[in-house]
Amino acid sequence: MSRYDAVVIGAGHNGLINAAYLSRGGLRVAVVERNDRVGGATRSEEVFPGFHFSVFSYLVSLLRPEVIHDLELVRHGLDLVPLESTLNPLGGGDELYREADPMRTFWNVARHSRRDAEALLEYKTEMTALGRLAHRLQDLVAADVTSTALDGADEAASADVAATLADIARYYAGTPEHQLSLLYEMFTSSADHFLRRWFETDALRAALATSSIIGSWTSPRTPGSAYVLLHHYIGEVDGVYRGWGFQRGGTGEVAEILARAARAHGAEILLEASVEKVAVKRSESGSTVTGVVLSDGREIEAPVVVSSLAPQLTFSRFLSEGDAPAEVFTAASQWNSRGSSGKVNLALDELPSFACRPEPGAHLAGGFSIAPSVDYVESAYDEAKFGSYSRTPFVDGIIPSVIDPQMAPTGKHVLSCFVQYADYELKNGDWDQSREAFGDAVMKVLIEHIPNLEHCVVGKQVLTPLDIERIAGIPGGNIFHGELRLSQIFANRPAPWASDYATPIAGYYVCGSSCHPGGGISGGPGRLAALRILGEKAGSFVGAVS
Amino acid sequence: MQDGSSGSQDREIQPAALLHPIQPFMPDHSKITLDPQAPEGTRSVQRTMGLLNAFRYGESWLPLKEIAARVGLPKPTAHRILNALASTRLIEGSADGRYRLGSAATELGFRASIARLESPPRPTPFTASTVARSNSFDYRAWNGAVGATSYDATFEREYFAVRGGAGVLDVSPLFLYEFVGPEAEQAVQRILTRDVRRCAVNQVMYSAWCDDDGYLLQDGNLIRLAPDRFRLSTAEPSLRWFSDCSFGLDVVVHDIGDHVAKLAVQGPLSRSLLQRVLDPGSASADAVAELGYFRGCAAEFEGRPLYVTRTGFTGDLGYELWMELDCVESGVESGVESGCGSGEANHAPAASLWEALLNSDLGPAVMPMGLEALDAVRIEAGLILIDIDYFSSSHALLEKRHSTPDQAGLGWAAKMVAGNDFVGRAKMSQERKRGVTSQFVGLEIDWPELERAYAPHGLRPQTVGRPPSREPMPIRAAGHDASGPQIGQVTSSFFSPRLKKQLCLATVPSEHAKIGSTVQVGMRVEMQRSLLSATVVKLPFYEPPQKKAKFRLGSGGEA
Ligand SMILES: Cc1cc2nc3c(=O)[nH]c(=O)nc-3n(C[C@H](O)[C@H](O)[C@H](O)COP(=O)(O)OP(=O)(O)OC[C@H]3O[C@@H](n4cnc5c(N)ncnc54)[C@H](O)[C@@H]3O)c2cc1C
Repeated sequence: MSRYDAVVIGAGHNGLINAAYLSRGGLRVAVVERNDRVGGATRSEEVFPGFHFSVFSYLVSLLRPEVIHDLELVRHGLDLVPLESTLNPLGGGDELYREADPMRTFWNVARHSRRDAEALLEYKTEMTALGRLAHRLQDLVAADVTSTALDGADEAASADVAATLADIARYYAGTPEHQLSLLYEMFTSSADHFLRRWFETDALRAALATSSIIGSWTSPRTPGSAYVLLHHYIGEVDGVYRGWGFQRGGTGEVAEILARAARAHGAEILLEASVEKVAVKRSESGSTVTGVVLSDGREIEAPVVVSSLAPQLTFSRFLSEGDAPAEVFTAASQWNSRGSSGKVNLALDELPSFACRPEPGAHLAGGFSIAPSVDYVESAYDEAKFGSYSRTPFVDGIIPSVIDPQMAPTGKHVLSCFVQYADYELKNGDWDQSREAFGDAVMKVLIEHIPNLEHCVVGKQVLTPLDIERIAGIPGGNIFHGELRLSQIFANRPAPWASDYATPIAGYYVCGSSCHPGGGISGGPGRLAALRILGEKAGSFVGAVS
Repeated sequence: MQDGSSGSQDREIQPAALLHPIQPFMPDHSKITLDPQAPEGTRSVQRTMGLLNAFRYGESWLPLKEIAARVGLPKPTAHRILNALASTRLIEGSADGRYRLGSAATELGFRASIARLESPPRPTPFTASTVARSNSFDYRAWNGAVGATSYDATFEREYFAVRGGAGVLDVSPLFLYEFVGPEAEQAVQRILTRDVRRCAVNQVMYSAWCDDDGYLLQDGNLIRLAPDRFRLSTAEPSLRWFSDCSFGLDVVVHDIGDHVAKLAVQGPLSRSLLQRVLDPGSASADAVAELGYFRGCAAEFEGRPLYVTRTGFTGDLGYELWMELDCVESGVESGVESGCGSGEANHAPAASLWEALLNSDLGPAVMPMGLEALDAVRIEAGLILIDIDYFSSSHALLEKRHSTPDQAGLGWAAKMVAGNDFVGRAKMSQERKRGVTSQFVGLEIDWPELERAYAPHGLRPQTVGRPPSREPMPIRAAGHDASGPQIGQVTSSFFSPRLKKQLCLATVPSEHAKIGSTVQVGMRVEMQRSLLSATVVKLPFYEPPQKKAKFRLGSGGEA
């Protein structure tokens, strides 16, 4: 049996960041990972000989600059190239093209509506301001504002919550009223409704609203979807609230870089080490964690165990009845992580040629998105929501090999398509039977806008929510480890009694995307949980870290 | 469209520009009415002009049907004339039967617009080529010619291309001198601070040179082509100085700048790119593939000789290509030394080299690169720039504007060995004895410090995504507030998206120049001068392994 100061479950980016910070804080840390490589939902793989894919997540923008700085990720190889533009083919040769230069974009949008072109400039400013407001919440430990503060029984905890609230209040003091009201609207409204405030062009609303549905069981007209929009505006590359960046070598490289950083601080990473149980000692005063048991029977002892997995695993699977109050198991079983997305990765033997922009050009180094109208996205949602998948899905794509030629053999390319919607729970049949048909539906939509895909695809990898569950180990396959909606964010992520990363079991912590501030390659949960654990060791509560 | 492969598609997809034409700011001359009385010659010119005018602003490839309809000609007639035009490169045809205006039209248009200028810039062998690639028409004056500032509205794509792929930069406005003769070595030795006796044939030496007072005149690269033949590239005209310095020696100095096309090909993929473009299979192709850092060799492009050096201003793997041009007028003796007399150099081979480099199968990983991106990467590389980071003593008006090589961080290039008697050496030694008072250093401002500076304004750092700045910024000693004395200045600064830090090139007093010491930089933050803590770090800020890597034939070697 081996002993460590802390064991981190899962070598996804959050687990790795958590381990790196804990090691940096002086703890002897082991990361245990079920797969044969690090990364989880952030992995790259040579799927077809010579063709490298960011298998799941494909762009980086939410990664906190603090993490980049603290863990010296640049030294370890971080190299993010900003994605400069987004092309939305609209069919019939028409398009909506947003470029790096706002004034180029202005004229592109003005083709559709001069008014909207101006509104887009305003919208960007407004969203940047809102992102700035929300950004503060990202760097706070979400103290449990629901229970502890009210009962006052635990004075120290109440003081912590009060301090957090005071910090928030101070930060928001002086915020213009219209921004607060917009923020409120974002939390409650549908994306389409929110966007109507600015835009008359349906295609533009659709293009912008796609940020509100990524990874979620929402459509542009679902109330609450505006929040997901905001979540995407919190992302930044070097502090600029706009950019999505592409890591050279694919997002798997981000995980490798984090692993190097963690190892540099002394963490050990054990691969093919799947956790079966979390060992817990029960006593009068409550339960205390003692280590983990792996599926091959190995045991690792540690006074601190940090899980980067979703509640269904962290609590329901790893704990035994009686280890924790019943409410913990109930809450975990109610956690909503039903997947809504799939991924299609294509190997191509020539450059994609868009019907609306057949010639090669700068647009190929940007992203593209197939969502020609709000109705289109809304009906894609309708087609899927009763236990099926969209026949005409929404597709968000990039061509990584244009940005980084080493992703594919010379002259050949890889195309990454994120697809919605695909219900994890199929009503008829299962995903192993439906995978091909799902892939065909995606191809049909792609070929309509990129006709040469008809003959230049030399390899196709179709990933369903079930595959996400199997490979990345996310129950239900939800890309964020759980829906990002009002009921599941801030102090409710994953539940009020674990919102500050400490669970009801002493020494057992959470640090994955199912914690505040949520999913995406942000490292926020991993970092904040580590600071919290280290702070506790040092005898201080790190509520307002920034 | 004559595309047989996609039979399922009966609807012709039209480019977006056709659906929403950009309002033509020029009258439409495509519709023609042929005068039956006019002689056939006139009518055929009218038809031809109608076809050329069918292409509107912003439009690229058009299907034959569309062109014929616009001009009002039967399809077969239009087809016949378009193909005739294609043989002159005024029109370019595609494999799938579409047409666009061709490269001869670009050149014609370029010459026509230049012809209207009151005072046109001197063309370099690549000016017309760069204009054809420019999405921004953003140029800056450079030695009487112009250089692209950036090809897009922003410089970032070029920055990332040169850091991750390859960038191609026209450096022809640089000056180039050739020293030929039995005493060529003595002449360059007298001028340069480096010990050029150690410069082997096909070696390149970076050096500084000074005036009699030991003040820095310029810095540049010396190439040794033969025991008695050197080339020196310079930022400023220097023929007089070089000739004066050669007084009494058996050497001739030629100004060959106009007759050599100079192109920098830089970035981790530059070697792959050259392997594709410089006549693969030719004897010299292997030499280029194996070329060492600061070495040169002869190479060929389409059978034409050129010289390649593994040098550049980007701090990455990179090459510079030097292609000698012929004279346009026949009868004039060609060859760089004699020049073309009053004749012009023929730019065509240079232009096709440019096209070959930018049309390789590396695709968009290779981009033309402008001066803004160059400025960004040379700051990362810690490379000093004349008239930005130091003043050449030839036009430093004030005493305090002069710098010595030691002050400019080029002390290492001044070799005080026996027999290396370069101009300014005596004064330099005296200064060294007194001790160097100020030094050229790299300063880094890290991310938390930038955040701290912007936090009071409720903003995230705003220097991100900005082009490099040449605005001088005052430096104050650590621990002083803004009223403290200014001890130095930052002369170039850039937020590096790769290193995630604000990089500054600066001059500080020697006692503050140690690696790891901290100073304060007075940066403009939201219209206020704020003091940001900066650390002295070792230059270069950025040095990828491939920069100096040794390559053997067939080894990939790219980062
Ligand atoms: C298809 C897809 C596309 C996405 N696109 C983007 C995007 O473009 N940009 C973006 O920012 N985000 C994107 N995301 C979201 C983002 O990738 C995730 O939110 C994030 O990577 C999750 O990181 P994590 O460390 O919290 O968890 P994970 O990456 O899920 O890591 C958990 C790790 O735990 C391991 N594990 C599971 N069970 C066990 C066990 N029993 N024992 C030991 N180890 C175990 C897993 O193998 C895995 O390595 C996408 C996600 C998906 C699925």
